[in-house]
Amino acid sequence: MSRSLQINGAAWTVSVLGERALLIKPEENNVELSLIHLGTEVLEKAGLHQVTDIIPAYNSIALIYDRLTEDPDKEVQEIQSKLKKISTSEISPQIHKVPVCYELGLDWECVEKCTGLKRKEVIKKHMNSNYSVAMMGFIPGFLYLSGLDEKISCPRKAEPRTKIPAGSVGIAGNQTGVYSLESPGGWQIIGRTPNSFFDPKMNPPSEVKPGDKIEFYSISESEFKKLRTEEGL
Amino acid sequence: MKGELEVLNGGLITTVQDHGRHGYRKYGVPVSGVMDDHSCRLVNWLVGNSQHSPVIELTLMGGMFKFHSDAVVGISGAEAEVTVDKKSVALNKTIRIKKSEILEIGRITAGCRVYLAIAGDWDIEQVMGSYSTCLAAKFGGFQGRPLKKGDRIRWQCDQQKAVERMVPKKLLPHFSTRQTIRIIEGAEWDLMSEKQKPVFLETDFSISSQSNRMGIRLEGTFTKLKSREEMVSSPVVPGIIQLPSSGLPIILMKDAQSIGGYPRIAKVIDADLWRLGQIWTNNTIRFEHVSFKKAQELSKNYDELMSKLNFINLI
Repeated sequence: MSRSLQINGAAWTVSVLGERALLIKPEENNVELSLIHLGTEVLEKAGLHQVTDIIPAYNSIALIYDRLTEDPDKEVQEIQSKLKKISTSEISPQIHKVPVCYELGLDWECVEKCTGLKRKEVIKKHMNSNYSVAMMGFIPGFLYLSGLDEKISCPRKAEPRTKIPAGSVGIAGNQTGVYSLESPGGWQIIGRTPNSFFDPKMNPPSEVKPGDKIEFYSISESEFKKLRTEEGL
Repeated sequence: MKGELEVLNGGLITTVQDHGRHGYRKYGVPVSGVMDDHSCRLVNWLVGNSQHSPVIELTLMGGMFKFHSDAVVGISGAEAEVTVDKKSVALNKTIRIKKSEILEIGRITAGCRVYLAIAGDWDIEQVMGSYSTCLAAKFGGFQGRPLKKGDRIRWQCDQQKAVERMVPKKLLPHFSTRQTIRIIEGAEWDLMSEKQKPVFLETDFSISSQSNRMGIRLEGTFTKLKSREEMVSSPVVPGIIQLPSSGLPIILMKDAQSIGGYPRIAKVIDADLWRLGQIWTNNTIRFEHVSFKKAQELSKNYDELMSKLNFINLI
Protein backbone atom coordinates (compact mmCIF):
# COMPACT_ATOMS: atom_id res chain seq x y z
CA MET A 1 0.00 0.00 0.00
CA SER A 2 2.27 2.81 -1.19
CA ARG A 3 1.79 5.85 -3.39
CA SER A 4 4.15 8.24 -5.16
CA LEU A 5 4.82 11.81 -4.08
CA GLN A 6 6.97 14.44 -5.81
CA ILE A 7 9.15 16.64 -3.61
CA ASN A 8 11.57 19.00 -5.37
CA GLY A 9 11.67 16.87 -8.48
CA ALA A 10 12.46 13.66 -6.59
CA ALA A 11 9.98 10.79 -6.35
CA TRP A 12 9.07 9.48 -2.89
CA THR A 13 6.83 6.59 -1.89
CA VAL A 14 4.25 7.08 0.83
CA SER A 15 3.23 4.11 2.96
CA VAL A 16 1.47 3.37 6.23
CA LEU A 17 3.45 3.53 9.48
CA GLY A 18 0.34 3.40 11.66
CA GLU A 19 -3.30 4.47 11.71
CA ARG A 20 -2.11 7.98 12.48
CA ALA A 21 1.29 7.95 10.80
CA LEU A 22 2.74 7.84 7.29
CA LEU A 23 6.22 6.87 6.16
CA ILE A 24 7.80 8.77 3.27
CA LYS A 25 10.83 7.29 1.50
CA PRO A 26 12.79 8.33 -1.60
CA GLU A 27 12.14 5.87 -4.42
CA GLU A 28 15.85 5.70 -5.14
CA ASN A 29 17.97 3.69 -2.71
CA ASN A 30 21.07 5.06 -0.97
CA VAL A 31 20.17 8.72 -1.28
CA GLU A 32 22.20 11.53 0.25
CA LEU A 33 21.11 12.58 3.71
CA SER A 34 20.71 16.13 2.41
CA LEU A 35 17.76 14.95 0.29
CA ILE A 36 16.03 13.68 3.44
CA HIS A 37 16.63 16.98 5.21
CA LEU A 38 15.48 19.04 2.24
CA GLY A 39 12.34 16.88 2.10
CA THR A 40 11.81 17.39 5.83
CA GLU A 41 12.14 21.14 5.51
CA VAL A 42 9.72 21.29 2.59
CA LEU A 43 7.17 19.17 4.47
CA GLU A 44 7.56 21.35 7.58
CA LYS A 45 6.88 24.47 5.54
CA ALA A 46 3.82 22.93 3.92
CA GLY A 47 1.66 23.34 7.02
CA LEU A 48 0.10 19.88 6.73
CA HIS A 49 -3.28 19.52 8.37
CA GLN A 50 -3.12 18.03 11.90
CA VAL A 51 0.47 16.82 11.58
CA THR A 52 2.15 16.99 15.00
CA ASP A 53 5.56 15.54 14.20
CA ILE A 54 7.81 15.28 11.15
CA ILE A 55 10.69 12.96 12.00
CA PRO A 56 13.64 12.52 9.63
CA ALA A 57 15.77 9.34 9.85
CA TYR A 58 18.56 8.02 7.57
CA ASN A 59 16.47 7.13 4.53
CA SER A 60 12.90 8.01 5.43
CA ILE A 61 10.67 10.61 7.07
CA ALA A 62 7.71 9.92 9.36
CA LEU A 63 4.62 12.14 9.43
CA ILE A 64 2.67 11.78 12.67
CA TYR A 65 -0.96 12.97 12.67
CA ASP A 66 -3.30 13.66 15.57
CA ARG A 67 -6.14 12.20 13.51
CA LEU A 68 -6.71 8.96 11.66
CA THR A 69 -5.15 9.14 8.21
CA GLU A 70 -7.31 8.61 5.16
CA ASP A 71 -6.48 6.20 2.41
CA PRO A 72 -2.80 6.91 1.48
CA ASP A 73 -3.94 7.92 -2.04
CA LYS A 74 -5.99 10.73 -0.62
CA GLU A 75 -3.26 11.83 1.79
CA VAL A 76 -0.73 11.95 -1.08
CA GLN A 77 -3.06 14.25 -3.01
CA GLU A 78 -3.50 16.50 0.00
CA ILE A 79 0.26 16.69 0.66
CA GLN A 80 1.01 17.24 -3.03
CA SER A 81 -1.44 20.13 -3.28
CA LYS A 82 0.11 21.79 -0.20
CA LEU A 83 3.63 21.32 -1.59
CA LYS A 84 2.74 23.28 -4.75
CA LYS A 85 2.80 26.49 -2.74
CA ILE A 86 6.24 25.87 -1.25
CA SER A 87 9.25 27.52 -2.84
CA THR A 88 11.96 25.00 -3.57
CA SER A 89 14.98 26.91 -2.35
CA GLU A 90 18.02 25.00 -1.14
CA ILE A 91 18.35 24.79 2.62
CA SER A 92 21.19 26.71 4.21
CA PRO A 93 21.89 24.67 7.31
CA GLN A 94 22.88 26.27 10.57
CA ILE A 95 26.48 25.59 11.58
CA HIS A 96 27.37 24.89 15.23
CA LYS A 97 30.99 25.03 16.38
CA VAL A 98 31.30 22.61 19.27
CA PRO A 99 34.23 22.48 21.73
CA VAL A 100 35.46 19.02 22.75
CA CYS A 101 37.92 18.07 25.47
CA TYR A 102 39.50 14.95 23.97
CA GLU A 103 41.50 14.34 27.18
CA LEU A 104 38.23 13.25 28.77
CA GLY A 105 37.79 10.35 26.33
CA LEU A 106 37.16 7.04 28.11
CA ASP A 107 38.01 4.57 25.37
CA TRP A 108 41.25 5.81 23.85
CA GLU A 109 43.06 2.51 24.28
CA CYS A 110 40.36 0.67 22.39
CA VAL A 111 40.02 3.33 19.67
CA GLU A 112 43.79 3.38 19.03
CA LYS A 113 43.78 -0.39 18.75
CA CYS A 114 40.74 -0.47 16.45
CA THR A 115 41.93 2.23 14.08
CA GLY A 116 45.67 1.51 14.27
CA LEU A 117 46.15 5.24 14.68
CA LYS A 118 47.64 7.31 17.48
CA ARG A 119 45.28 9.37 19.60
CA LYS A 120 46.61 12.61 18.08
CA GLU A 121 45.81 11.46 14.54
CA VAL A 122 42.33 10.30 15.51
CA ILE A 123 41.60 13.70 17.09
CA LYS A 124 42.88 15.50 14.00
CA LYS A 125 40.66 13.44 11.72
CA HIS A 126 37.69 13.83 14.04
CA MET A 127 38.08 17.64 14.02
CA ASN A 128 38.75 17.93 10.31
CA SER A 129 35.40 16.60 9.14
CA ASN A 130 32.18 18.53 8.80
CA TYR A 131 29.24 16.62 10.18
CA SER A 132 25.53 16.65 9.46
CA VAL A 133 23.04 16.05 12.24
CA ALA A 134 21.42 12.99 10.66
CA MET A 135 18.78 12.70 13.34
CA MET A 136 18.19 12.97 17.08
CA GLY A 137 17.11 10.15 19.37
CA PHE A 138 17.54 7.31 21.25
CA ILE A 139 17.41 9.60 24.24
CA PRO A 140 16.36 13.25 24.03
CA GLY A 141 19.05 15.42 22.50
CA PHE A 142 21.34 12.60 21.34
CA LEU A 143 22.98 13.78 18.09
CA TYR A 144 23.61 11.18 15.39
CA LEU A 145 26.27 12.76 13.15
CA SER A 146 27.18 11.52 9.71
CA GLY A 147 30.38 12.37 7.88
CA LEU A 148 32.95 10.51 10.00
CA ASP A 149 36.31 9.83 8.32
CA GLU A 150 36.13 6.09 7.74
CA LYS A 151 39.75 5.68 8.88
CA ILE A 152 38.56 6.36 12.44
CA SER A 153 35.41 4.26 12.39
CA CYS A 154 35.15 1.84 15.32
CA PRO A 155 32.63 -0.83 16.32
CA ARG A 156 30.42 -0.28 19.36
CA LYS A 157 31.65 -1.61 22.69
CA ALA A 158 30.83 -5.27 23.25
CA GLU A 159 29.54 -4.43 26.74
CA PRO A 160 27.65 -1.13 26.85
CA ARG A 161 28.40 1.17 29.77
CA THR A 162 25.56 1.59 32.25
CA LYS A 163 26.39 5.27 32.65
CA ILE A 164 27.93 7.69 30.17
CA PRO A 165 28.38 11.29 31.36
CA ALA A 166 26.40 14.10 29.70
CA GLY A 167 28.31 15.76 26.86
CA SER A 168 30.23 12.61 25.90
CA VAL A 169 31.33 12.44 22.28
CA GLY A 170 31.56 8.95 20.84
CA ILE A 171 32.16 6.83 17.77
CA ALA A 172 30.06 3.83 16.67
CA GLY A 173 30.59 2.31 13.25
CA ASN A 174 30.87 5.13 10.72
CA GLN A 175 28.98 7.61 12.90
CA THR A 176 30.01 9.99 15.62
CA GLY A 177 27.55 11.27 18.17
CA VAL A 178 26.99 13.41 21.25
CA TYR A 179 25.19 12.31 24.41
CA SER A 180 23.37 15.43 25.61
CA LEU A 181 22.19 13.64 28.75
CA GLU A 182 23.76 11.10 31.06
CA SER A 183 22.60 7.67 29.95
CA PRO A 184 23.67 4.10 29.33
CA GLY A 185 25.32 3.49 25.97
CA GLY A 186 27.75 1.48 23.90
CA TRP A 187 29.63 4.07 21.86
CA GLN A 188 33.42 4.43 22.13
CA ILE A 189 33.89 7.68 24.05
CA ILE A 190 36.69 9.91 22.73
CA GLY A 191 35.90 13.19 24.48
CA ARG A 192 33.40 15.44 26.18
CA THR A 193 31.81 18.74 25.25
CA PRO A 194 30.79 21.28 27.91
CA ASN A 195 27.85 22.26 25.69
CA SER A 196 24.39 20.86 26.20
CA PHE A 197 22.07 20.22 23.27
CA PHE A 198 18.95 19.53 25.26
CA ASP A 199 17.07 21.71 27.73
CA PRO A 200 13.44 20.77 28.40
CA LYS A 201 12.76 24.29 29.69
CA MET A 202 13.55 25.81 26.29
CA ASN A 203 11.20 25.85 23.34
CA PRO A 204 12.39 24.25 21.11
CA PRO A 205 14.32 22.10 23.61
CA SER A 206 17.46 22.11 21.47
CA GLU A 207 19.27 24.76 19.45
CA VAL A 208 20.36 21.95 17.12
CA LYS A 209 17.99 20.20 14.76
CA PRO A 210 18.35 17.44 12.16
CA GLY A 211 19.98 18.82 9.03
CA ASP A 212 22.25 21.25 10.92
CA LYS A 213 26.05 21.07 10.58
CA ILE A 214 28.51 20.43 13.41
CA GLU A 215 32.21 21.31 13.54
CA PHE A 216 34.34 20.17 16.49
CA TYR A 217 37.34 22.01 17.93
CA SER A 218 39.65 20.91 20.69
CA ILE A 219 39.82 22.45 24.17
CA SER A 220 41.87 21.64 27.27
CA GLU A 221 40.49 20.17 30.47
CA SER A 222 40.71 23.51 32.28
CA GLU A 223 38.82 25.23 29.45
CA PHE A 224 36.24 22.44 29.63
CA LYS A 225 35.75 23.08 33.37
CA LYS A 226 35.49 26.83 32.83
CA LEU A 227 32.93 26.50 30.02
CA ARG A 228 30.91 24.01 32.02
CA THR A 229 30.68 26.44 34.92
CA GLU A 230 29.53 29.15 32.53
CA GLU A 231 26.85 26.80 31.20
CA GLY A 232 25.72 26.41 34.78
CA LEU A 233 26.31 22.67 34.78
CA MET B 1 -10.84 25.41 47.11
CA LYS B 2 -7.23 24.36 47.44
CA GLY B 3 -6.39 20.70 47.80
CA GLU B 4 -3.31 18.72 48.74
CA LEU B 5 -2.22 15.12 49.10
CA GLU B 6 0.92 13.66 50.55
CA VAL B 7 2.53 10.49 49.28
CA LEU B 8 3.00 8.01 52.14
CA ASN B 9 4.17 5.17 49.92
CA GLY B 10 5.15 5.69 46.29
CA GLY B 11 5.00 2.00 45.42
CA LEU B 12 7.06 0.68 42.51
CA ILE B 13 6.84 3.20 39.65
CA THR B 14 4.19 5.81 40.33
CA THR B 15 4.29 8.70 37.87
CA VAL B 16 2.23 11.68 36.76
CA GLN B 17 1.13 11.22 33.13
CA ASP B 18 -1.37 12.51 30.58
CA HIS B 19 -2.05 11.50 26.97
CA GLY B 20 1.53 12.29 25.97
CA ARG B 21 3.92 14.85 24.56
CA HIS B 22 3.61 15.60 20.88
CA GLY B 23 5.62 17.73 18.49
CA TYR B 24 9.13 17.12 19.85
CA ARG B 25 9.99 13.70 18.50
CA LYS B 26 12.53 15.04 16.03
CA TYR B 27 14.58 16.17 19.04
CA GLY B 28 14.49 12.61 20.33
CA VAL B 29 11.75 13.27 22.88
CA PRO B 30 9.56 10.18 23.48
CA VAL B 31 5.77 10.50 23.53
CA SER B 32 5.53 9.39 27.19
CA GLY B 33 2.04 9.46 28.71
CA VAL B 34 -0.21 6.81 30.24
CA MET B 35 0.37 3.20 29.20
CA ASP B 36 -3.39 2.60 29.30
CA ASP B 37 -5.12 5.54 27.59
CA HIS B 38 -8.53 3.96 28.05
CA SER B 39 -8.38 3.89 31.87
CA CYS B 40 -6.93 7.41 31.87
CA ARG B 41 -9.98 8.67 29.99
CA LEU B 42 -12.27 6.84 32.41
CA VAL B 43 -10.71 8.25 35.60
CA ASN B 44 -10.70 11.81 34.31
CA TRP B 45 -14.35 11.37 33.34
CA LEU B 46 -15.18 9.98 36.81
CA VAL B 47 -14.06 13.22 38.45
CA GLY B 48 -15.31 15.61 35.74
CA ASN B 49 -11.83 16.66 34.60
CA SER B 50 -10.87 17.42 31.02
CA GLN B 51 -9.31 14.60 28.98
CA HIS B 52 -6.08 16.59 28.99
CA SER B 53 -5.74 16.58 32.78
CA PRO B 54 -2.88 14.71 34.43
CA VAL B 55 -3.44 11.45 36.32
CA ILE B 56 -1.28 9.29 38.59
CA GLU B 57 -0.21 5.94 37.11
CA LEU B 58 0.64 3.23 39.66
CA THR B 59 2.43 0.03 38.67
CA LEU B 60 1.96 -3.49 40.16
CA MET B 61 2.47 -2.55 43.82
CA GLY B 62 -0.09 0.20 44.41
CA GLY B 63 0.65 3.06 46.82
CA MET B 64 -0.62 5.12 49.75
CA PHE B 65 -1.71 8.76 49.91
CA LYS B 66 -2.81 11.01 52.77
CA PHE B 67 -5.26 13.75 51.83
CA HIS B 68 -4.78 17.09 53.59
CA SER B 69 -8.07 18.37 52.19
CA ASP B 70 -11.37 17.01 50.91
CA ALA B 71 -11.10 15.60 47.41
CA VAL B 72 -13.11 13.98 44.66
CA VAL B 73 -11.13 11.12 43.11
CA GLY B 74 -11.55 8.34 40.59
CA ILE B 75 -9.69 5.04 40.36
CA SER B 76 -9.71 2.72 37.34
CA GLY B 77 -7.49 0.34 35.45
CA ALA B 78 -6.06 -2.80 37.03
CA GLU B 79 -7.85 -4.63 39.83
CA ALA B 80 -6.63 -3.98 43.34
CA GLU B 81 -7.99 -3.74 46.86
CA VAL B 82 -8.58 -0.05 47.48
CA THR B 83 -9.40 1.40 50.90
CA VAL B 84 -10.08 4.81 52.38
CA ASP B 85 -9.12 4.76 56.06
CA LYS B 86 -9.05 0.96 55.84
CA LYS B 87 -12.63 0.74 54.52
CA SER B 88 -13.05 -0.83 51.09
CA VAL B 89 -14.19 1.45 48.29
CA ALA B 90 -15.35 0.59 44.80
CA LEU B 91 -13.24 1.21 41.71
CA ASN B 92 -14.67 2.83 38.59
CA LYS B 93 -16.94 5.07 40.64
CA THR B 94 -16.53 8.65 41.85
CA ILE B 95 -15.07 8.59 45.39
CA ARG B 96 -15.28 11.39 47.95
CA ILE B 97 -12.38 11.63 50.34
CA LYS B 98 -12.41 13.73 53.51
CA LYS B 99 -9.54 15.76 54.86
CA SER B 100 -6.91 13.64 56.70
CA GLU B 101 -8.21 10.34 55.29
CA ILE B 102 -5.73 7.85 53.87
CA LEU B 103 -6.25 6.27 50.45
CA GLU B 104 -4.49 2.97 50.03
CA ILE B 105 -4.24 1.17 46.71
CA GLY B 106 -3.12 -2.38 47.40
CA ARG B 107 -1.05 -4.80 45.35
CA ILE B 108 -2.55 -5.30 41.91
CA THR B 109 -4.35 -8.62 41.51
CA ALA B 110 -5.25 -8.46 37.80
CA GLY B 111 -3.81 -6.15 35.17
CA CYS B 112 -0.69 -4.05 35.68
CA ARG B 113 -1.49 -0.37 36.19
CA VAL B 114 -4.00 1.57 38.30
CA TYR B 115 -4.94 5.17 37.51
CA LEU B 116 -5.88 7.85 40.02
CA ALA B 117 -7.53 11.12 39.02
CA ILE B 118 -8.30 14.01 41.35
CA ALA B 119 -10.94 16.62 40.45
CA GLY B 120 -9.44 20.04 39.78
CA ASP B 121 -6.51 21.81 38.18
CA TRP B 122 -3.27 20.34 39.45
CA ASP B 123 -0.45 22.58 40.49
CA ILE B 124 1.93 20.88 38.06
CA GLU B 125 3.62 22.66 35.18
CA GLN B 126 3.43 21.42 31.64
CA VAL B 127 6.77 20.78 29.96
CA MET B 128 6.64 20.98 26.16
CA GLY B 129 2.86 21.00 26.32
CA SER B 130 2.41 17.91 28.49
CA TYR B 131 2.15 16.84 32.13
CA SER B 132 3.77 13.48 31.38
CA THR B 133 6.92 12.32 33.13
CA CYS B 134 9.83 11.62 30.79
CA LEU B 135 11.81 9.16 32.93
CA ALA B 136 14.75 8.82 30.49
CA ALA B 137 15.51 12.54 30.51
CA LYS B 138 14.12 13.27 34.00
CA PHE B 139 11.69 16.06 33.17
CA GLY B 140 7.95 16.64 33.18
CA GLY B 141 5.33 15.30 35.59
CA PHE B 142 6.43 15.56 39.22
CA GLN B 143 10.04 16.79 39.04
CA GLY B 144 10.76 14.36 36.22
CA ARG B 145 10.72 11.32 38.49
CA PRO B 146 8.44 8.71 40.11
CA LEU B 147 6.59 9.84 43.24
CA LYS B 148 8.11 8.93 46.60
CA LYS B 149 7.27 9.26 50.29
CA GLY B 150 6.87 12.87 51.34
CA ASP B 151 5.99 14.29 47.90
CA ARG B 152 2.97 16.58 47.87
CA ILE B 153 0.61 17.23 44.98
CA ARG B 154 -1.60 20.30 45.13
CA TRP B 155 -4.63 21.33 43.12
CA GLN B 156 -7.36 23.92 42.85
CA CYS B 157 -10.91 22.56 42.73
CA ASP B 158 -14.16 24.29 41.90
CA GLN B 159 -16.82 22.63 44.11
CA GLN B 160 -19.54 23.44 41.59
CA LYS B 161 -18.05 20.95 39.18
CA ALA B 162 -18.31 17.98 41.55
CA VAL B 163 -19.81 14.98 39.78
CA GLU B 164 -21.07 11.54 40.76
CA ARG B 165 -20.33 8.95 38.11
CA MET B 166 -19.88 5.25 37.53
CA VAL B 167 -18.18 3.66 34.54
CA PRO B 168 -20.72 1.82 32.34
CA LYS B 169 -20.07 -1.95 32.44
CA LYS B 170 -19.40 -2.25 28.73
CA LEU B 171 -16.43 0.09 29.06
CA LEU B 172 -14.70 -1.93 31.78
CA PRO B 173 -11.68 -3.96 30.64
CA HIS B 174 -11.47 -7.74 30.99
CA PHE B 175 -8.28 -9.08 32.49
CA SER B 176 -8.09 -12.48 30.89
CA THR B 177 -4.64 -14.03 31.15
CA ARG B 178 -4.74 -14.98 27.47
CA GLN B 179 -5.24 -11.98 25.26
CA THR B 180 -5.64 -11.57 21.55
CA ILE B 181 -4.05 -8.38 20.30
CA ARG B 182 -4.84 -7.20 16.79
CA ILE B 183 -2.06 -6.04 14.48
CA ILE B 184 -1.54 -4.53 11.06
CA GLU B 185 1.46 -5.23 8.83
CA GLY B 186 4.59 -3.23 9.60
CA ALA B 187 7.00 -1.68 7.09
CA GLU B 188 9.21 -4.82 7.23
CA TRP B 189 6.39 -7.40 7.44
CA ASP B 190 7.72 -9.10 4.32
CA LEU B 191 11.09 -9.80 5.92
CA MET B 192 9.21 -12.72 7.46
CA SER B 193 8.99 -15.69 5.11
CA GLU B 194 5.61 -17.03 4.02
CA LYS B 195 6.20 -19.86 6.48
CA GLN B 196 7.06 -17.53 9.35
CA LYS B 197 4.00 -15.29 9.06
CA PRO B 198 1.50 -17.96 10.16
CA VAL B 199 3.89 -19.07 12.92
CA PHE B 200 4.07 -15.49 14.17
CA LEU B 201 0.27 -15.38 14.28
CA GLU B 202 -0.09 -18.77 15.98
CA THR B 203 2.50 -18.35 18.70
CA ASP B 204 1.41 -17.77 22.28
CA PHE B 205 3.95 -15.24 23.41
CA SER B 206 4.69 -14.82 27.10
CA ILE B 207 5.77 -11.52 28.62
CA SER B 208 9.31 -10.97 29.89
CA SER B 209 9.78 -9.32 33.28
CA GLN B 210 12.27 -7.05 31.47
CA SER B 211 9.25 -5.24 30.01
CA ASN B 212 8.74 -1.63 31.01
CA ARG B 213 7.26 1.66 29.82
CA MET B 214 9.63 1.65 26.83
CA GLY B 215 8.68 -1.74 25.50
CA ILE B 216 6.99 -5.04 26.15
CA ARG B 217 9.44 -7.86 25.53
CA LEU B 218 7.95 -11.08 24.31
CA GLU B 219 9.20 -14.61 24.81
CA GLY B 220 8.23 -17.64 22.77
CA THR B 221 9.58 -20.14 20.33
CA PHE B 222 9.40 -17.91 17.30
CA THR B 223 11.99 -18.35 14.55
CA LYS B 224 14.50 -15.70 13.56
CA LEU B 225 14.42 -13.69 10.37
CA LYS B 226 16.52 -15.15 7.56
CA SER B 227 17.80 -11.86 6.29
CA ARG B 228 20.54 -10.62 8.61
CA GLU B 229 21.20 -7.42 6.71
CA GLU B 230 21.62 -4.45 9.02
CA MET B 231 18.66 -2.11 8.91
CA VAL B 232 19.28 1.63 8.95
CA SER B 233 17.60 3.39 11.85
CA SER B 234 14.05 4.36 10.92
CA PRO B 235 11.10 6.15 12.54
CA VAL B 236 8.91 4.21 14.97
CA VAL B 237 5.71 4.91 16.92
CA PRO B 238 4.21 3.24 20.02
CA GLY B 239 2.64 -0.08 19.06
CA ILE B 240 5.28 -1.04 16.51
CA ILE B 241 6.56 -4.59 16.96
CA GLN B 242 10.29 -4.82 16.34
CA LEU B 243 12.04 -8.10 15.67
CA PRO B 244 15.71 -8.05 16.72
CA SER B 245 18.10 -10.80 15.60
CA SER B 246 17.40 -12.68 18.86
CA GLY B 247 14.01 -13.59 17.35
CA LEU B 248 12.17 -12.25 20.40
CA PRO B 249 9.78 -9.44 19.44
CA ILE B 250 9.55 -6.15 21.33
CA ILE B 251 6.36 -4.07 21.28
CA LEU B 252 7.33 -0.41 21.55
CA MET B 253 5.35 1.46 24.19
CA LYS B 254 5.01 5.07 25.34
CA ASP B 255 8.58 5.77 26.50
CA ALA B 256 10.12 4.28 23.36
CA GLN B 257 12.54 6.33 21.30
CA SER B 258 11.34 7.96 18.07
CA ILE B 259 13.86 6.10 15.87
CA GLY B 260 14.62 2.37 15.94
CA GLY B 261 17.09 0.05 14.24
CA TYR B 262 15.22 -3.28 14.15
CA PRO B 263 12.80 -4.56 11.49
CA ARG B 264 9.26 -3.27 12.11
CA ILE B 265 7.38 -6.45 11.32
CA ALA B 266 3.97 -5.35 12.58
CA LYS B 267 2.09 -2.74 14.57
CA VAL B 268 -0.48 -3.24 17.31
CA ILE B 269 -3.62 -1.39 16.24
CA ASP B 270 -4.28 1.85 18.13
CA ALA B 271 -7.63 0.54 19.40
CA ASP B 272 -5.82 -2.31 21.23
CA LEU B 273 -2.68 -0.51 22.38
CA TRP B 274 -4.11 0.46 25.78
CA ARG B 275 -4.70 -3.22 26.60
CA LEU B 276 -0.95 -3.74 26.57
CA GLY B 277 -0.65 -1.19 29.36
CA GLN B 278 -2.37 -3.80 31.55
CA ILE B 279 -0.26 -6.78 30.50
CA TRP B 280 2.28 -8.40 32.79
CA THR B 281 4.26 -11.63 33.13
CA ASN B 282 1.26 -13.79 34.03
CA ASN B 283 -0.30 -13.07 30.62
CA THR B 284 0.21 -14.63 27.24
CA ILE B 285 -0.68 -12.87 24.02
CA ARG B 286 -1.43 -14.01 20.54
CA PHE B 287 -1.60 -11.70 17.52
CA GLU B 288 -4.48 -11.46 15.09
CA HIS B 289 -3.86 -9.92 11.69
CA VAL B 290 -6.39 -7.28 10.54
CA SER B 291 -6.40 -5.00 7.50
CA PHE B 292 -5.41 -1.34 7.73
CA LYS B 293 -8.99 -0.41 6.86
CA LYS B 294 -10.34 -2.55 9.69
CA ALA B 295 -7.85 -0.97 12.13
CA GLN B 296 -9.06 2.50 11.09
CA GLU B 297 -12.66 1.42 11.56
CA LEU B 298 -11.98 0.02 15.04
CA SER B 299 -10.30 3.30 16.05
CA LYS B 300 -13.23 5.28 14.70
CA ASN B 301 -15.76 3.10 16.53
CA TYR B 302 -13.79 3.40 19.75
CA ASP B 303 -13.62 7.20 19.51
CA GLU B 304 -17.36 7.34 18.89
CA LEU B 305 -18.10 5.10 21.84
CA MET B 306 -15.93 7.21 24.14
CA SER B 307 -17.29 10.53 22.90
CA LYS B 308 -20.71 9.49 24.21
CA LEU B 309 -19.25 9.35 27.72
CA ASN B 310 -19.40 13.12 27.97
CA PHE B 311 -23.17 13.01 27.90
CA ILE B 312 -23.63 10.40 30.61
CA ASN B 313 -23.94 11.58 34.18
CA LEU B 314 -25.04 8.73 36.40
CA ILE B 315 -26.21 9.91 39.78
